[in-house]
Amino acid sequence: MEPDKARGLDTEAILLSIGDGVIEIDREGKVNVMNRAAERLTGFTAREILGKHYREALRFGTEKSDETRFDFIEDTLREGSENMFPKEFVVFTKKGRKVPITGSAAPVRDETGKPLGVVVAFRDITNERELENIKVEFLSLASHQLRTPLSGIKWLIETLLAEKIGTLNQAQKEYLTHIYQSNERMIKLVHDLLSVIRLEGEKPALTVTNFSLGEFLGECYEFSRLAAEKAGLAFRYETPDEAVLITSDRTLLKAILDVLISNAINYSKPGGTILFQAVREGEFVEFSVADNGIGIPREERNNLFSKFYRAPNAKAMKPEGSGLGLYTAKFLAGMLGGVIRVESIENQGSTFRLTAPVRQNPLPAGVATEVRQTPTP
Amino acid sequence: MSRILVVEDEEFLLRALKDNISHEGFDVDLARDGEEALEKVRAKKPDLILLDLLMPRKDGFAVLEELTRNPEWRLIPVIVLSNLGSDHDIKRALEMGAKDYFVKSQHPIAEVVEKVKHILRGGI
Repeated sequence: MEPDKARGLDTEAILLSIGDGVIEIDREGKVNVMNRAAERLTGFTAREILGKHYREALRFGTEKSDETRFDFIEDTLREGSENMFPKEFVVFTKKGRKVPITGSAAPVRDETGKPLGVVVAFRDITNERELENIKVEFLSLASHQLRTPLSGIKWLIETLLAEKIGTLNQAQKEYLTHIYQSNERMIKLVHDLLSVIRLEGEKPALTVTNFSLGEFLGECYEFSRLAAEKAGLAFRYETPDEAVLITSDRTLLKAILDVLISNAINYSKPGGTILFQAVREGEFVEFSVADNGIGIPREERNNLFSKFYRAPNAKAMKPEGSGLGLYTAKFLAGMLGGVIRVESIENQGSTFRLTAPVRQNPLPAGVATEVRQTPTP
Repeated sequence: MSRILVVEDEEFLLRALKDNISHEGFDVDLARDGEEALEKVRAKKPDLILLDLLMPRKDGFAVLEELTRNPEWRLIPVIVLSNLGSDHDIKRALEMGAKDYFVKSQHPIAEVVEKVKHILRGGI
């Protein structure tokens, strides 16, 4: 047997035997390859599918709607880009059942780079998605149940401290204040946990408006001014001279910047300075928060945005942090199509930069009016 | 003197609310679930209701619905106090006619009392 031929045979056998579903579509959209895992997953046989246009052969969609989705294949065919499946993606089986999948569409090219078609690879993630749902439900229930006793402790101590039940001596007041502060820490932790669960579960809709960048910066500044003052820090902000307008989700942007500013305050020593700035560069706006605080050790940078992760020097300085701030900030930045970058030198300071598009994509109808903020009294 | 109906199934929260509100000189009536709340409203119409959402027998949403359906009760101001904090629940309660919504663990009790006084003075 010639070696080349042997290799060719093997490649096809390997392709057909791969544990993940694989489908290959040519430039005209005709399905040329469907492996055995794809047959098992969809309930169709290769014979039923091969040679047909992918739109007539298969159907993809999402868990929560009945809409058919082929955009990831079309984008790859048109642009030659690799596309990961969106969250909650499903394939419809022959019997019309939805099977949760994850995977990607990637361009197939010849040796010269000429696009020949698209290869779609996908995997059944029914179990993973069920586990994820159980986790979210459990955490959400547990957090709600935790809030009730915590609010009881909070309100009862407040009533005692206001001396509505009787007068207290100095030591009693101090003890109660300590209990109160511990309880507030617990409340904050539960609140942060719930916010993260909600973000991951519901993905809040964007509420996009036009607003002045300078005014917005002032608002963020005011929000944290007192906390910075209390921490003995010089906190300044600078805006571009011109009246720059941007179009974005103001509440989300502010939530991200609040995290970055509050980190700068928490991880700076008294006497330090914090500079908060924004510049518009073409289609993007870059916010930066620079401090000369404790900084981030080099080896910790990669983990900085992981859930519950805290750098050792941060933990030593503020034991009560939850490790959810930057995780949440990164998540929200992603929703705005933005990124957060960090430069830092340990013991010298950190600069966090948020780059976000000045103009958000047009919104799908009916999502712009979601209520997101808790009403305040 | 204004009469406040406090609807809350957790005894310790009920007590904290009762002590703080009566301390301001209001008359306080208590109910431990939604059914009892409506009985109390029927017996003696309150000037304001503090309403929990998750309760046995009848929940706060059902109470809100019955209140708004009855022309005599429709205008009683209701402040929702709940530990359900999702946008969905908040929006739903406000759309059903609640004047305000406090996530209990996120607000000092003094703020709730202030809001009660504010609304009874004719504020919104």
